[in-house]
Amino acid sequence: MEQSKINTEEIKQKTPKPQESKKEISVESIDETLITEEGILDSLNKYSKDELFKDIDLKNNLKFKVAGFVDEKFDEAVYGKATLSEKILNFATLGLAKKDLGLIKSKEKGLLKKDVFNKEMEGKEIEIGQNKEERSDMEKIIGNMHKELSEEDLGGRRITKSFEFVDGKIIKIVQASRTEQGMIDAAGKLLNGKIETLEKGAGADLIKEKEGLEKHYSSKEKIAEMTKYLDPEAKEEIIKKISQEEADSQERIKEKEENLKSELDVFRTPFQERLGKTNELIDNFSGMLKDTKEAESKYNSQLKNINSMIEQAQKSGLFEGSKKEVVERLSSKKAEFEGKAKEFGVRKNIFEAKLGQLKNNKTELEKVVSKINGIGKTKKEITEEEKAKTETNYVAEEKENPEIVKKIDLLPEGDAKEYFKNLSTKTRRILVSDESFMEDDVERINAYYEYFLGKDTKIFGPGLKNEKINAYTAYIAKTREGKQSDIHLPKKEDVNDGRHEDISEKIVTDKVKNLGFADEFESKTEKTFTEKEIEDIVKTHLKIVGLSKIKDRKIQDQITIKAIGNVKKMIAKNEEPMTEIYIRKETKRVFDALSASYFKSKKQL
Amino acid sequence: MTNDTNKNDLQKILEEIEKAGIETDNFLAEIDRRMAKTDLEYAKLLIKENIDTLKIAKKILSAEA
Repeated sequence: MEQSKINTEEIKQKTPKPQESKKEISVESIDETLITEEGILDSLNKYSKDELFKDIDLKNNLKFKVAGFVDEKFDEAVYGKATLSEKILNFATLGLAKKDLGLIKSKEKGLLKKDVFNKEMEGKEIEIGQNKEERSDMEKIIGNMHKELSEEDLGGRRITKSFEFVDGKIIKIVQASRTEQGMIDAAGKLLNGKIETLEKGAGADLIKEKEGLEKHYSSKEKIAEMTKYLDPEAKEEIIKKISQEEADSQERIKEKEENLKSELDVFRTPFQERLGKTNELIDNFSGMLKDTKEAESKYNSQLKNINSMIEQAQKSGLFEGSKKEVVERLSSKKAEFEGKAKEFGVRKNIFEAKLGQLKNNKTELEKVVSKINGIGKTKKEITEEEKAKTETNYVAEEKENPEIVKKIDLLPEGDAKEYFKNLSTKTRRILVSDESFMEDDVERINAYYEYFLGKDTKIFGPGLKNEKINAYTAYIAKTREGKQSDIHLPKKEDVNDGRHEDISEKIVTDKVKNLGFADEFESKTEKTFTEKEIEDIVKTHLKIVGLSKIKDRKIQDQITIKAIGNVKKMIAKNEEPMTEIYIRKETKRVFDALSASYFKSKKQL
Repeated sequence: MTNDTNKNDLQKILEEIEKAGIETDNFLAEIDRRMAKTDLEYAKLLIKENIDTLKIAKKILSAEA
């Protein structure tokens, strides 16, 4: 404890006063790093990555120099040896006068003299890092000198020391320079800082101007009212002034937008390019992962076949000699196959790890691009842009899915509708085309339907069953009242006998039936279906899941016949009445199973 | 006759397994080639990212100077 106090005190004393803050990064240092980086990029087109990265050694350009003190504890190698007479004198005083004589005792080098320079040390640059205490002390010293440096920045630096002998004094020179990554990080910080400055400065200024003009427009309508007591000349003068101010503001907005755009384009273009390239890489790795999974599954089924062949051979009536040969040869192939099976796993892990990294990068890049694109824009402009983008994406994605568009169109205008359009294509198709997919996912069901039901979702509690949701949703969609429904459900605590859900369901279903659109409700209720009803449900659902994407009529018919047959068998086996949801599920299952090879062959073409 | 048929069957099965093994080797080689190519693109993207960052920083500093 006492020792550490002394050390801190010593450090404070040794620490030279802060120098004038130097620029953290300079154009010259960037130029040098750029040359190296561009060199690497050029080389990457010619050689393999591993070969190239071996040679990366970017020069560190940021240096901090301190001079004027020598640490007896860590720098004793810099002192020259004491002379014989000094040694005798030290001996004669029993070593008690060491300090007065300027001597120190080194374990390895014997008696040393503090004002004698060890010439062997001249020009030598020693990295401070092996001794943690020395490194930590030095970081504190540099940190005191350069308070702008973060702990992370300091820790990532290469710190070295060297010594010179000037005018009879030993001078210690310490240098702390960033690694190449530290250099790039510093440049990155500079960029982020600039984006922030543009956002808070020019961007905020532009927004203010736009909002001012917006307010002006909305008040302009009342000008006739405001000036009705003025004489025509004064009125005309005011209108002229207003028009001039309006034109001035529009001009200022235009000018500010142009300036901001040219400043932001410097950042926007590389970030957008990076995002595009990241998406490309994600597609590539996803494709490789998918192909590997498919190949692995094929491979595993081959392995299963070998196992079953071995079993068959063992059970067969072959002569022992032949049986043994068959089993041995198959077993040897089996071992070979098992060894190779691991190869798929290794590659899958690599692809998954890379996809994870790239997806994180993508999220970060999207945030930056969205931030840059939003600078200088009012909330209204951003909302309008997002809406237009969503609409464009949605229309393009669902061009061939009229069923989905039809269903979403049924919804009342507002959050719910936007929410569906904004979903990722896959999620939207699953959720909108077939709610039965959500049956086992309570969290998703609740999050999803909260858009329909608002606070009432919570009244139902987790695990809301589809029958109830669909009835309620159908009601809301039909009445187009959005969340302002007139269904009032009891609170859980008001129902004592634990029948809250039953009571709630009854209220909803009664309401739905009374409104005269029992179809939606009936489709989720248990009943005995006629053959015609079964066929209609299957055919309708096949359309929803994408039967029309199969261009071969024969395959379409096969799937339809098989699905109807399977559903009928399923109903016949089940003694209890069924709900439509099970018919749809079975239809989807048959469609998936029978269409897989068709889609695969189409893809290969 | 039975033994001959069995031997022929076994031979056929082993040939099929052999073929499947070769196909797998080819697949793995092809996927490794694709991986190496994409890795290279990834590495280029990272280096390009550094270059862009440095170039923009240079522009900012030059404008401030």
